Amino acid sequence: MTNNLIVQKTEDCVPNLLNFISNSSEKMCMVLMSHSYEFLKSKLVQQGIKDAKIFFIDCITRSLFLGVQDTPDCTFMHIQMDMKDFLYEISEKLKKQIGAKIFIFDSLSDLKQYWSPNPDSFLDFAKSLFPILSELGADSYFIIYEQDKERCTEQHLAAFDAIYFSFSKEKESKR
Amino acid sequence: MLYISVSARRKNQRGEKMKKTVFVVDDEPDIRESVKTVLEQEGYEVLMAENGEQFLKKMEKSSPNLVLLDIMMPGLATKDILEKLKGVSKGVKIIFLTVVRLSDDEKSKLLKMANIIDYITKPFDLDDLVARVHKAA
Repeated sequence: MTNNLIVQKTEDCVPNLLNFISNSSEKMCMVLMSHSYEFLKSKLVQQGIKDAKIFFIDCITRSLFLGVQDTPDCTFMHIQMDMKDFLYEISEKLKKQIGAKIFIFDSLSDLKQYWSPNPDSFLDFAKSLFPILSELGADSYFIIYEQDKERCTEQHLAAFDAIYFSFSKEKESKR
Repeated sequence: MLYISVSARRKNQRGEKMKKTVFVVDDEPDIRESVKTVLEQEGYEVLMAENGEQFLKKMEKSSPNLVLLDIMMPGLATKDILEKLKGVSKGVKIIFLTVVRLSDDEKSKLLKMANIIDYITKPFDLDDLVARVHKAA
């Protein structure tokens, strides 16, 4: 059980995610903050990835459209102004993902405007989820965009078990 | 540049040239400032707001030609901003700005919403943004 930070170029995010999903046979849960559920599902279909065992938590679509209903493989929610409220709601949803061995948060960078004034408060959010992910016995991958890594303090970065540049193990860069 | 400056102006009732106004609504200060700078250089008057609440309040006293609206901001959800905007200003044209990736169907749905005329994905090219603003404003 490890909590990992994935540092990516924005434009590499979708291809790397699809590659990661297609190479994994584990049940996973993906929290979507920069891609909508429909967008990612359409990309999975385009890539011929049909048997992925993924449950999605979409934090985007319900902010844009009226009448959005949960589906068998996706639940929808808002990103809330109060981090504690958001943490509570998302924690309740994560706890239901029993059996999921991989949790992906795509991406923490999309939270950076929400809970200022601390420039890396989005990492506080991630760290607050570690106990729940540990109880679930899962590995987690928190994505941030390359340009946002500079905003992160060493103290915050040290909380993660490893920091990778993209999902590619070959490019692994441990602290 | 001369052509662009002329295109960003309209005449008032007395025949005097007035600047067209673009309202930039985005929670990221860097984006607000860079868009403001480039649009002012092109001859537009630029209003700014950092969230939906501030935007709606300012809209009570302004009537821009065009709104550039970030669709993922803290606070009011986009669907609520658009709903409340109906009560404040009917008919103002809106271009969505977003870092979020949506499916083609979702983009089509957005463009069918009232007054939404275009959709720009971040990070955007400022020249492209200006061209779209000229076309829309």
